[in-house]
Amino acid sequence: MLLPRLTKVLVGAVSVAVATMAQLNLPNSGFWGQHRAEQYLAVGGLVAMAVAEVLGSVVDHVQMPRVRQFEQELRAVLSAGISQLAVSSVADWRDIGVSAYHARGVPWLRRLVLVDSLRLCSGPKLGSRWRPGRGVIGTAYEQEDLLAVDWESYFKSAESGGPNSWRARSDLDRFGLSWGELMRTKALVGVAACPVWSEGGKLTGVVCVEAPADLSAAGVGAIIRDIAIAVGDLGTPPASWWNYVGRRVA
Amino acid sequence: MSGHVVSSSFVDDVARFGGTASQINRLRASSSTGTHGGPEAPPRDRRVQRARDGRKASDRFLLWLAGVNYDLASRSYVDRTRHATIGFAVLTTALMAGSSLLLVLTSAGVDTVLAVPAAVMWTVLITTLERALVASATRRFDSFRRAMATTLVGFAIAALVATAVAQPLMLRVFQPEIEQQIRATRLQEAQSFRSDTPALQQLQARVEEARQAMLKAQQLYQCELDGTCGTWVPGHGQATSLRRFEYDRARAEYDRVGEQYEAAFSQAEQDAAALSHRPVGLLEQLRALNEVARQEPTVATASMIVTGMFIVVEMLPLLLVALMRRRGATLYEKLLAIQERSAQDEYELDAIHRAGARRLADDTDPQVDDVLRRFEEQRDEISQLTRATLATVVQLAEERAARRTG
Repeated sequence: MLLPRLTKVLVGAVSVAVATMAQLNLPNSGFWGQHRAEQYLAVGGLVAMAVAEVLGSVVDHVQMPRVRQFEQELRAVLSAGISQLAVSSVADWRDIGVSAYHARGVPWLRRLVLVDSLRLCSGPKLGSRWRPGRGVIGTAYEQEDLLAVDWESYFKSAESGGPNSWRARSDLDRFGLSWGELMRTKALVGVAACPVWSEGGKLTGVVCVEAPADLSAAGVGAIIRDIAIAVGDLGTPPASWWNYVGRRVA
Repeated sequence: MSGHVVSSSFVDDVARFGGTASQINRLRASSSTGTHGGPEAPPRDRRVQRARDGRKASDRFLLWLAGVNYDLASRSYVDRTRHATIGFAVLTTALMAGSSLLLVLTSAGVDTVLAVPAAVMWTVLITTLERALVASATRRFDSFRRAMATTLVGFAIAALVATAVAQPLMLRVFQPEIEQQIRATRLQEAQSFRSDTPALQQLQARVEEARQAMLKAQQLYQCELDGTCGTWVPGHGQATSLRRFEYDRARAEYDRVGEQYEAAFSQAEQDAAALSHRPVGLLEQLRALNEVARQEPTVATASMIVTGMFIVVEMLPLLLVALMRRRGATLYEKLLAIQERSAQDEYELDAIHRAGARRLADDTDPQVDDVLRRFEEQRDEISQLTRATLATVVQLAEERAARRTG
């Protein structure tokens, strides 16, 4: 999302500057007579921006019912996930957080972007953006398998070893995290992530559960897989989802 | 993740937390069959379903074109065949419309790369329009007036589209005659263009004038030289030199004007040639066809028949619907009515549930408060009555016990 926005801002700034300077005859009246192509380009840029804005609004408006439905279905899945995990006595239902991430970007520059998350009480944030191979979420995506980590013990052992010992570990052993990134995860106790496959069997994202409990039990794994299947069933979020103000971002 | 089946309690929870009906159905289906399975599971595409029970995919497409529900229409062989025929007519009409536009665009000199997408878009548009017309014509209305109005509007639109589509096709049918007429008309135009140019006529007059002046000067010079006019002295003298000078000047003027005329004439020739070789437009073709029809009554009759035929073909879907209409509702129409009624009831029930849930959730609703207050009051009354009854029972028991001991 950053690149298109940046492009839009740059095109807008340059086009407005050129058009305004030409209107005000700056730096002098004869200057823009020799730069007609630039003026046409600036007007073209402004028109393109206006058209892009209008089209974006229309697309958002058209997709709104689908976005609402997607939101409703996703919230139902995340709520059901929390309910199931609470029933299996993992932790108190207020302390369980469930998040869904979707893989976006070109194949060589994939990133896992938070689609939506649900947690009924305040608690540690899992972050809205991960890369494959980084963190439990990225590692589960890269290894394409369910991954449950007793993060509390893991963190304690890493912290006791110190930064140098941490840096000496292999990338996989560190979950691709730097020392600073590790230090920011102190509040986490148990983290589990499960890849999400679409109906066609394509890897599309990850669901992640965090709770103050051990999430490595088989029953918990089955529930996380249920959540992953239900999220995979929903398919790719609508294009307007990423601009939707109702979306929660961690 | 292979072979993992979604638990039914999870699906129930999704339903409890407001999952949509389609979502629940999908999850229930995967829960009961266990079709989910990550990479190992065979890919399932919900958009395309394999043809079952001898029902062809083409039938499905044709029934879609006819604007009917496949599942309902395919329950009766008669209905299925009927609507498939209408769907085929819609397809034919749309393809004819696309071909017609392609002919118009290519004959107007539009590049094929642009003409083909435009024709495809036109085909899609006509398909949509015809589908909508057929779907509205298939529907039965309670009011006769409304049915008639819908039918008439449908026919009017179809006739308009048919006429627009038939015209280019007819031009194609009579192309040889039209081309011949265009050639003749252009030849005539070129000839009249050459002779009618005012500048050329003016130059021609000036050439003639210069020629006359030159001939007169030549005659004067010759007779001066012979001694038969002027000074009446034969041979070269001063007067002869003067006449010679006048003659040379008149000849130079004649040559100059002649060159001008030739230049203007060749320009007019070029213009006439350009006029003859300009691209043939649609309007010119229509004019030529009218001209041919005016000159040849046979062509006029044939043109009317062919146009009529094309219009009939273009209106075929609606005509088929009208021809196949019969007294009483068909099985498809009955099933459709039942389904629509059921969907409406379901929606209304859902709306009532939603409204009820909203009212219950609304703390400020006075009616809900009133009901709750009455319930509370009655509960107090019930508990008072219960307590009174119990007290009476206890009292009676105590009296009985006292009597026994006494």
